[in-house]
Amino acid sequence: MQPPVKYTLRIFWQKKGNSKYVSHLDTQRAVVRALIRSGLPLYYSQGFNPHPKLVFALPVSIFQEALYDVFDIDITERISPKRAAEMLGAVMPGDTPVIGAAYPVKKFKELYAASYLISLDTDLKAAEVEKALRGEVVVEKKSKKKCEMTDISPMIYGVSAVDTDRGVILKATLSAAPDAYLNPKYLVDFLGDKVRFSETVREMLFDKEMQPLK
Amino acid sequence: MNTERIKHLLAKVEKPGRYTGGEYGELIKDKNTVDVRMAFCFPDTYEIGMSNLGVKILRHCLNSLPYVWCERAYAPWDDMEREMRKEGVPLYALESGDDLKDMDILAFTLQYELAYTNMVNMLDLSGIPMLAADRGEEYPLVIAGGPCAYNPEPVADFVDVFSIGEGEFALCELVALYRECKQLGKTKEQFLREAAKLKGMYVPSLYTVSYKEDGTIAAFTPKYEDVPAVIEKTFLTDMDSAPFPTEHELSFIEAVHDRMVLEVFRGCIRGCRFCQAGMVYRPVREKSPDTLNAQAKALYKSTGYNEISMCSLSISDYSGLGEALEKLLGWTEKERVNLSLPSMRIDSFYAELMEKAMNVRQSGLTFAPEAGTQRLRDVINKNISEDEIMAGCAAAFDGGRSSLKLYFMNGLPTETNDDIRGIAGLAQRIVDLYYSKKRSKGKGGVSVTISVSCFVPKPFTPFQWMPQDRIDELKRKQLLLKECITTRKISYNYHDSEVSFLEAVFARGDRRLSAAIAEAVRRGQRFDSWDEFFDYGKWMQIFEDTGIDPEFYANRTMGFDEILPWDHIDCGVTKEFLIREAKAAIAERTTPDCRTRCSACGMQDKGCTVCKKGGKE
Ligand code: SF4
Ligand code: SF4
Repeated sequence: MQPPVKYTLRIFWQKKGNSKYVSHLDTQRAVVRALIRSGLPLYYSQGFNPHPKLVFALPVSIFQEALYDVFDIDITERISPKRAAEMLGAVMPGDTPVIGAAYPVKKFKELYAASYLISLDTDLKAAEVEKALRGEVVVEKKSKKKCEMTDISPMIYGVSAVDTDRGVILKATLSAAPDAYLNPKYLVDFLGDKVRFSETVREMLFDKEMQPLK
Repeated sequence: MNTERIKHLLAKVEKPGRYTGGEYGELIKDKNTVDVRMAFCFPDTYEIGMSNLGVKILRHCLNSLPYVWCERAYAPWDDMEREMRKEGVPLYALESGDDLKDMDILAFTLQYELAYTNMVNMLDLSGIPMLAADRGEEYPLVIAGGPCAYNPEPVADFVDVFSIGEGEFALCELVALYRECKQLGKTKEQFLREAAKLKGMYVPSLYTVSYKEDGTIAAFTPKYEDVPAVIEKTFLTDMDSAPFPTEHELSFIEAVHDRMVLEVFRGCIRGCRFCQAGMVYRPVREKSPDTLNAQAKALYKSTGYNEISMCSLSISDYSGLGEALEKLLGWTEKERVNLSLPSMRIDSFYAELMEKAMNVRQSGLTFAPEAGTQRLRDVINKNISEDEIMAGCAAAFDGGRSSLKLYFMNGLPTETNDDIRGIAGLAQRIVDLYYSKKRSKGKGGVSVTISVSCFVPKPFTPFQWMPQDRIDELKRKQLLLKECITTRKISYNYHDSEVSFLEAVFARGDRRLSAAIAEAVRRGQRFDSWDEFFDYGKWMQIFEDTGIDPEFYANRTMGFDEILPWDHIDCGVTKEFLIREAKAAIAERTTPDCRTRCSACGMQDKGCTVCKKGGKE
């Protein structure tokens, strides 16, 4: 039997509210189930244990929310993205809504940066936070094999902060390139014990032209 | 639920997704339009509780009443409990986030004895007094059911009402009564008196127990004339029309059984003499293949799971198995849905089924001969011969399988050293069988796992009067078996005898054990079925300090004429039948299954249709 033709479709969605307490692996499983429920003409991998194709652009870590998240799926018919978004949106868990669909323009490897909104429960002032993060930012950074002190400032493309009655809201644009992803938690780590609690929302994913990843 | 008040806690615990609700399929009702707020409480982790089919069915029944909202609650793992206690956050329901103490009714399911401490701890963590007697009108009604409710006595002091038997309709009746009493402004006491008159409802506070000097029960009497002396179980008669949820919450984090579960039938035609399920769920009631198929399709649509597991006590006894598999395989293959069957009885493991089963994923091949010799298998009424076991294994090997798992029990009544050696011998002959087959010389060879549990005498079985072996004896037997195994093709694992001992204490316990359970919870015991929390030494100390002799419950031969702690519960089978079976066991005499011949277990007058269909008295 001829394997069916396949088209890659890009789904834009959000991971917010209580779904931030769900790990990426568990999220993946939930999305696969939603794909099956949706009735979309899924393309299954060939072979012994066929499964639908699902690739995430850049999963957020557990405890982080994402307002613009992206995954690609493979389908066997070139159906209208609007229709696909409706079909999948109808069966996604409540805190992970679908916000759109499109046939991909860019490849995931063209991902360049991500912007974040980080609420800090702290006595630090916005100016102090900005100052700290605009200099050298040396943190203990984990990479694949080792854990070493690294200056992450080259991966910080911009920070700004404002004071609120509860602490500071930090806006940050960080590298999200496939080979240089900077998890926003390092910024919070760097600020140290003075931050009692933090909540992170990833607002946008950008390509090299600093346009939303499409 | 709104997780704002617990966000600092969630940041510190493992798998925070256990505590937030918000799963796909979650049922939210408007709390202002319902009259009865309930939480179904599962006294173990979220992952285990979310997998429980019984809970899904009962919540489905309750929530189909427009005036009820029945939410979920689970036992938080100890990291979360610590944080909750530290921050003063009481246990809450996952949908609304509202505190359990503000609910009208908390319904606990008692699946295994070792979860008793969890149930009581969940009350405590909710800010609710553990003991029913200490709970005034301001606290929720605490009800409980499930398999362990057949002997409710060890937890009698904590629970207001037990539902005995299958609760689909009975629970709804109870809740309807609750609502009526609430609307009429009746007190809890008034409600309980009324509830005791409903079929299947047991209100422990309405009975008094007195004891003889030797510790056995002298009398068990209702306090009032209108309170029934015996509580009859409730059960469904027609499974095709039985309520079954084809939609339910889907756990975000991985549940223990992350798949569709089809209940194929209830009850079991066999009467293995150690098996409580085989007795209390009588008679056998099957779903038709069409019902199963329709439910499977609906479940697939609503869940998107890619695996169906067919669940029942002894699945290969299902009379419609071939037809059901055919119907299911008719669409599941195309949809890439796997079918899986639970452990099979080896004797009905026919080649034909084997062939079909090749398209069916099996959660490993497992067989349960339970005893190593024919003599002992006759004692326990496991009607299966060595030839049948070998034929089953041969079929499995011919089908290309090379690993299987066998379940046995240690400490069964009348067991001798020969019976223990018999286990190793049987496993060895299965290994030899594999190598006697030409084609089965694949890489890796054969692997036979023998998993041995310790016999726990359970209420409402013919062995309910029989003692459990003492811990030393069980350990000796476990070691003896180990020495009998001479090949690495056989791997051997066995249950902790100390855990089984505690299980036996509770299984055959009476009301006096409530004091020990309460004390255990005060001293921090919980999750007793988890290795990391089970603490034998601590339990022994607790028994000593509460004046309880645990061996009185676990290791004593009880008398046929003795009043047993659970005698006021009528599970369908009669004591006469159980005594007959106990005597047959000692005489090494087997009893045929229900389809071959009815043994007049007591259900013949209570709606059993098996004996009317084929079996002859
Ligand atoms: S086959 Fe025996 S052990 Fe299995 S459920 Fe039936 S009675 Fe119990
Ligand atoms: S009445 Fe007869 S056929 Fe029915 S469950 Fe009892 S023994 Fe089996």
